[in-house]
Amino acid sequence: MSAPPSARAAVPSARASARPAIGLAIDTTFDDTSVALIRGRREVLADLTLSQVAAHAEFGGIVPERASRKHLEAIHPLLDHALAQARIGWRELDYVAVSNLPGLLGSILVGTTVAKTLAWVLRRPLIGVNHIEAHPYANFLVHGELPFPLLHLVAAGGHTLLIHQRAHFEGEIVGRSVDDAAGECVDKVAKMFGYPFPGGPEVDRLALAHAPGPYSFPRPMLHDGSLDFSFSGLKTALLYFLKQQAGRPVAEGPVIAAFFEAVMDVLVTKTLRAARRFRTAAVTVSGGLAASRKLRERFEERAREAGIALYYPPARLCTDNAAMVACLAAYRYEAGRCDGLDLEAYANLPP
Amino acid sequence: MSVFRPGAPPAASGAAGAECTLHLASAAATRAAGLALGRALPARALVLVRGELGAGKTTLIKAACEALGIDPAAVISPTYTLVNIYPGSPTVYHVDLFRLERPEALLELDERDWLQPDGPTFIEWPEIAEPLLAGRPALTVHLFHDGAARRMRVRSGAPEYAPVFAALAALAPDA
Amino acid sequence: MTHALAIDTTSDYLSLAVLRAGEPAGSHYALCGTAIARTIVQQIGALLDGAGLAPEALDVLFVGCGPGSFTGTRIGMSVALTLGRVLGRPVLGVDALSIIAAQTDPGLGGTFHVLLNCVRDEVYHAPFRWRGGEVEALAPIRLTTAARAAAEIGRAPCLVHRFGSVQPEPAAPPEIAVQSASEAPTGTAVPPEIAVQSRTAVQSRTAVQPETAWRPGLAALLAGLTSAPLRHAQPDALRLLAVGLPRYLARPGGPFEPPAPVYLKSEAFRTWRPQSEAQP
Repeated sequence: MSAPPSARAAVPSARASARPAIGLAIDTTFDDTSVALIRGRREVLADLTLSQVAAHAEFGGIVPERASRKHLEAIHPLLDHALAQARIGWRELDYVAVSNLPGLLGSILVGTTVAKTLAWVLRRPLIGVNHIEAHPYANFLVHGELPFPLLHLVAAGGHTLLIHQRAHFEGEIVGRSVDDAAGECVDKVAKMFGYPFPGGPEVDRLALAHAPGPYSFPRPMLHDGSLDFSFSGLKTALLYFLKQQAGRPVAEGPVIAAFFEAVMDVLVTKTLRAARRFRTAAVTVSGGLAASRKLRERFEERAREAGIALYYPPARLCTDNAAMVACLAAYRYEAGRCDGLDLEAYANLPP
Repeated sequence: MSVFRPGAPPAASGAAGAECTLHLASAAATRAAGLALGRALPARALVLVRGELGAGKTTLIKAACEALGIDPAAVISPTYTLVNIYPGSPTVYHVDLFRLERPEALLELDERDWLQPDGPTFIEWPEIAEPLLAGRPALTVHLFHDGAARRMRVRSGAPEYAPVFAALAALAPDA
Repeated sequence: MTHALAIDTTSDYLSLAVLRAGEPAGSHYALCGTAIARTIVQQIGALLDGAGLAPEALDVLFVGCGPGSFTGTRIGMSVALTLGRVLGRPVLGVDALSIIAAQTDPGLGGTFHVLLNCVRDEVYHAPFRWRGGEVEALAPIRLTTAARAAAEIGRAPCLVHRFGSVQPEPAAPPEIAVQSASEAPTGTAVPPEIAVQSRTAVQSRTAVQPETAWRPGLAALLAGLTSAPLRHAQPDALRLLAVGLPRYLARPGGPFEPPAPVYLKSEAFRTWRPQSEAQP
């Protein structure tokens, strides 16, 4: 599931004291620049994302209109801010972690290059983290040591994945979308209704406020026993539905609620199916779509019925952040699973 | 049951350019068209794929990538990443500009990050990049909804894409 | 005396140079293309080891801040800005055209021009001259079309430099001016008059071996920068350079200017002065 390993660095030398290690994590995989500082496995000393921070006057400077892909200009002020907030200096860092896949390559390279440089000049180990693999670790961060084996649903941007995790560093993808991801389907259907991209939050709001009424949309691949997903048929169904309305007014609330019912049904059913198939004691949900209150509500109901424990992070840790990256890196550091300074960046997940 | 119904026969390539239209009755037909397209592309192809949501753009590109030696499971929508890079011989760039709001956003990206100079590049939702693409020999594919089926119109003014038109014409059964 | 590290990754080449006590003490120059990010930090480590310098010993960092490849420029600047931040040393940005200009013969009298291709028919252009042993830009870099640049340049000597996709002949130099219009890269319309002038203008420097083409450039520039011009620089200009903002953002047809530092808090940068000759 991880990126192909680069040359492994030596295991960090043991320290006489049992002081928990302090790690820095950087994430520049997409539009936003994120940094986090962590002590041990769970104590977050700082967790900053440019688009959120820049809205605060204390950050200084002129607030940019859109904080996208400006990683080079943003990363150092963010790092300074994080260190100041945590009240630590560069030399107190024990390791440097960075998301090196997947995402927009030119953006990832800013983060990986800054991280490598820090690791080299500070003489600390470098840890490359798979951003998608980091999403479930938002749950370890917030809920503590979860019982293995675990079944994770990760619905983040262009990825919808089911991951069976037997132990830290032992897991595999057991289900994935064969075409559109769930979040993508939601954002594109929202666009059809005229909501600005990404329209996920608006869809969630409508799904919470409305019942589907008489509307119902197909649940793709639901009954074939497979753990893979397919959402492009659902997207097309909505498109045809709107075309058939031929300009007549559409009851947006119920239609969108019905659409989201279809999305949720597929996600929840397949996740629980996977949990039963792999006999996992618990299920986690993470990624941007996991911030949906309606989806969380539905998962709670169905998991309770099925007698399976359910974990999900608070909404702010569902969207992209470096704290989850820091948590995964903390486990890697403790296990001595570090990378070399020749760490590569990859635009895509390995097949 | 025929999978294809030919539209207008390919016009002679030359100053006026070439054009052809295919009727795609099913996803299998879209895939077959994509495979034929991928096999016939020149080395530095630029393929602009237009069409509404759900018209089959990614399906077509997935098949074209398969013909170029890329594992089709690796071909996913680049809506969020903007650019997917599929390593291989050749390496394929798959771009999706759907979520860019303003043409200026494209200037923040190095052209070489998304417009591969040495290998094939497929671009979904290319409209926002049109000013930057002017002058580069390209093949334009337009996918339309046609009831439950699709129509695919292919055009190019550049002679290097002539094999594509021949390959697509060969898909249509004899009348 | 000044210990300095120079980094330039604005083209497909990983170009590094080290000054120890004011003298060139090693360099690295390799055509890396997309592999620059993978090897850059280790190469810098090896270079400094070879010069007997720890990173903490560096007084100043120089970095090529474009124009050129966006991704490439970001990589070099990421390294330089990070080192500067952690080590508490100033980072001075040097534009690509100055690096090219510094490779010409200091005996070249009068104004000469440097062109660097952008995309399609657009080029970056700036006029230079040698004065007192240093190369000096006479005007800010402009992004313009080759045709307009040619009109401005007239009969004056001009260097045309091309960076672009990795060429199949890795041993070839970055085409410093020795190209005719027929060798012009795809999409760059270089008027033939400019190319012809280039050959005569840079005759002395074309004796430079291809694999060392950039190294003297960076080292020469370092030597030039560690002296007079910066003493006379305006405080703001020095601070802007010290911030090392990327200059690769190109707005077609417009003047080429670095974007305003909207994200950065006001900070007092340490004022950097060249070490006097008397100090060891």
